[in-house]
Amino acid sequence: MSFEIAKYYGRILLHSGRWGPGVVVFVLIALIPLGNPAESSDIASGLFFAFVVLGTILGRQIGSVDGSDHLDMVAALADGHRRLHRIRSATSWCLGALVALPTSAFAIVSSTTGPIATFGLAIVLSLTGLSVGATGATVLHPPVLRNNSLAVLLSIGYIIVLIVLPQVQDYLRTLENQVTQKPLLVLIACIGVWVLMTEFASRVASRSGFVS
Amino acid sequence: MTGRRQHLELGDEASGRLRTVLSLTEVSLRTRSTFIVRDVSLHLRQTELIVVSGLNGSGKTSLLRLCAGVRTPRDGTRSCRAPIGYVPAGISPLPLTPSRWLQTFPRERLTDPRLLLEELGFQGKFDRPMRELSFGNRRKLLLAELFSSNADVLIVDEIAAGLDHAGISAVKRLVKRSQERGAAVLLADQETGIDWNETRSYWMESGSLAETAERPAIIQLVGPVQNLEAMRDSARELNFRVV
Repeated sequence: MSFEIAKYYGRILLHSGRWGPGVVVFVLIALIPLGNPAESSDIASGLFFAFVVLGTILGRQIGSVDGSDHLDMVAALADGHRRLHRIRSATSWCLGALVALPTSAFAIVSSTTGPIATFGLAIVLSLTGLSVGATGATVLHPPVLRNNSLAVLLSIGYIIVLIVLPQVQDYLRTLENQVTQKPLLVLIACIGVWVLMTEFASRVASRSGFVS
Repeated sequence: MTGRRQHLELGDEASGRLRTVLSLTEVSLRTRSTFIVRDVSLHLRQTELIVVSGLNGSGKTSLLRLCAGVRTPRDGTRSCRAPIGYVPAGISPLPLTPSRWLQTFPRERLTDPRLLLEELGFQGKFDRPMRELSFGNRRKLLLAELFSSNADVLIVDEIAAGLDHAGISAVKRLVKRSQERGAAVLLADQETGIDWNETRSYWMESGSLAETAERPAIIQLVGPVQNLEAMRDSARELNFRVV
């Protein structure tokens, strides 16, 4: 049933056309490293940010593609808002992951050096970016956002992220050709944070009693 | 089908052993200062039809959402042993055509929803976006989806909202058929005066639920009536409500 609901939300998103702006922004960000042939590690770090954006937009759009009445209908089917929230968050991550593989492959093939050696790194960084974006987006669903204190915390969190981003970018550039270990650990940590945040948000969603 | 719940076999009605499919026990729901639902206990068994009536703001919708599992009670317990189908009072249109929505909504079908739509008197177009449908036709679409599904507990908010006479008659038949296949039905209804042939009916007021032994009938006086006040008095003596 979870898979069927995920498929259903994927279809609503597809037909809503809401993926359009997200894809345009993603392509533009991804084109910056692709349009300027560079070291493959630079391209990989560029993809990280492109996938942060994609993860955020996909997660946010799936979370708000339907009104609260329809959300209730599907929540009854999914055994409550808590489970439905998990399904929707996972759907956005999986959709992003589907994009990660071909994009990483294309990006590395377009690079000037080390296409094979850094292919793994590009995928790992793309998925890491996707997890970071999905972590932010999982709390941007309307039933969760109704919690005012959470909305304040989120705003503070995003300001901190904006301040930290340049340092993150510098760090990613130093990861050159470290295909294993460090980046992989970062990916696992980011997926862990995403799962925890989704669980927290699903609890808030089930308690919010969201009504439009 | 739905989550971890299993479909139930129909119990032995003759021996009165119909299974309880949905239970609320001393359930409450409240904001910081106000009770929305207060100490409500409700048990729904297979083949039963329960109608909850009440004025606007009495807590009917919140009660139904609790029953459907889309709200978590603050106090008390809820247990459900069967797949649930829930239809809210309205729905904002999705970016799909009715035809595609019926195909993609993730629920197994017992019958073709298009046949039920025909029975309900649906007037919309299947291949046009849902946003082009009127409120009534959108409601019929939701009801056709629900009654064609294999859900064992059917919960419908504001059952008569947006429906014409033909639609209401059709819904009555669909409810009856669902009961016959063993489903339990829970409806919320405004004071429409429609007789749903329910097993039990409840009156909801300020979040509390009271069983009504007999639903008060509603008489609607239409056209020129001689001695209106005398008629009103007689109706009140007979415990009818006059609108």
